[in-house]
Amino acid sequence: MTNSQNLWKKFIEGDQQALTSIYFDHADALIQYGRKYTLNHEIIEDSVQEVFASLIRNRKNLCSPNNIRFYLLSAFRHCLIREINRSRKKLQISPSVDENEFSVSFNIESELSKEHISKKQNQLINNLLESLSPRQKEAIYLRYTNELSHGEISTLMNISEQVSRNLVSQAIKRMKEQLDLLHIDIECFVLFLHFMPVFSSKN
Amino acid sequence: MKDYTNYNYEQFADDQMFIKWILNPDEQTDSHWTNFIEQHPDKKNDINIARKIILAYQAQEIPSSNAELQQLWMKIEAQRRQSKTKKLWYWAAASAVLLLLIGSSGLLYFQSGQRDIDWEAMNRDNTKSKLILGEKSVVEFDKQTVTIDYRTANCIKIDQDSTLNLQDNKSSKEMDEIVVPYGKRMQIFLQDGTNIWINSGTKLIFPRAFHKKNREVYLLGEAFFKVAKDASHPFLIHTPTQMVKVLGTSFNVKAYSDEKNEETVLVEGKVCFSGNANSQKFTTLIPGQKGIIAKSNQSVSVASVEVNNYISWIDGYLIFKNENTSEVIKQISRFFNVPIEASDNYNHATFSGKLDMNNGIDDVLTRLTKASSTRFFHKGNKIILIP
Repeated sequence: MTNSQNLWKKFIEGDQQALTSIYFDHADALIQYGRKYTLNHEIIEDSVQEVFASLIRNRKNLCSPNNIRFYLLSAFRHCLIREINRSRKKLQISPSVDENEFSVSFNIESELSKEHISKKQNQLINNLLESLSPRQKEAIYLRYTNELSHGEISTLMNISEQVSRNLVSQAIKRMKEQLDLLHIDIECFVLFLHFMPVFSSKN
Repeated sequence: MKDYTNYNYEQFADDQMFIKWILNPDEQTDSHWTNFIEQHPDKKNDINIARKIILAYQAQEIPSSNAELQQLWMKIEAQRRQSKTKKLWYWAAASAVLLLLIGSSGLLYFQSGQRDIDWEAMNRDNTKSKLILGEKSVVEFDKQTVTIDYRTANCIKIDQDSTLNLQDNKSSKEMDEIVVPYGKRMQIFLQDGTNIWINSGTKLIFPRAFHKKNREVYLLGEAFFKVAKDASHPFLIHTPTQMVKVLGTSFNVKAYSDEKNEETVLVEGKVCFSGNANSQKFTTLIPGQKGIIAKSNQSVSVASVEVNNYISWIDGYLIFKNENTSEVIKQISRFFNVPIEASDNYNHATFSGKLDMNNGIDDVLTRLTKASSTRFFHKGNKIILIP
């Protein structure tokens, strides 16, 4: 049993401190995922809140998922899309959100504090990701940031496992092309990025 | 074990074990891949490409700040407190370890004297009581009444069983804000021991700790104050129209945006007040007196009143003596946050008596309409009174 499954078990048995640890292990991944769907931070926070509130509400009836991250991402995605649609209805704008909107809002410059982002980084990120389709972006995000399996990605995105494999493989090829085009020493650059304090909390 | 000898960069970059090695290496994956590279030096190039792709992708992920995550967790905690009041003791331990990270930007406001006060009237759509900490983080409450206690340094107690810890001493110079929507009430103990009951539809802004010569708070709406005695640090209440100055006493201040006058009713001790336009000219009240200040021209008048009628809302009932029925209806509507429509006939009737608000609006209106032989019914989210 992994550490996070242990925590989950403790939480179901009534150890509330365990939920705090679960939250701090996974909340960032949910927020990141949300940011790729919407710029509206309130919607993202509301959805994270709703996910954890429903865990608390339904504690006694929860099952023990194999992959906690996957479980939380699924619940979060569900809440998020519902919240986005609700707010759009309220504003009476465009129809409901669909899968193809992933990452439409992924615009580093407008979204994130600029101090963390150097020009070169910006260039790298834009080149790396701009050539990807929204679904490729979502699949690769789930694969790399959350280390989900293709089975899990396919369930989450409501596609077949083969489609999930194809999306990731296309994304990898595109990113390789972009990396080849970049005239900077990517090895040094990546190393540099990883020593920057803002990225060091990742592990 | 999988056979990786025919893998190219693309396959490595989509292999679970490979991804894990790059992003979260442990002993097992590390020894596996180090061995593999040693045995298959021809794969080194593909492995490097796959590694670069994954690292470059990961580099564009910007983690949320710790403070951001902490604040969101506080909201979840606060929400949970509302839904599970009985199990509060259980969570107190969990929330006690949470640190509230507070920056010092609110500091400037406070030190530079008057803070910018947003006197914008309360929005009737708000349904949750809020505690806003230094204009940064917000804790929301669903319950009818909440008690907040600032008397312990560097922490805030909520309903006696939960605690928010404030991180550093600097934060004691922050200004915090309480927003109570129509239909809700709150009670607060300030750092100096002053006890304030905050009525529906009210905003109160106050320093987390008192450092200056005067103890100053800002009020829009209605509150009952029991000010802790401290003659060397006068307690000042600022409202849009007036300033009330106190030396340790209990009294009620009413300053709603939708009423013509602001009122101060003194229960014990001594207060004086002045209009904002004429801040040197104070009018002093003695216990049992009500000071009224007109918003239009700041004219001041004083009347003797039965103080219980003015502070009974603290205990969840309203007392009226020969009160215009339209005023009674207005107060009931505000108390429960339900719009009530009544015909003009009511303007000529008066009402005397005590209304217990603890059993809900239907109960109150049933008794009111019985006394006046009228009827009421619900229409949508409104209530209509008919003769």
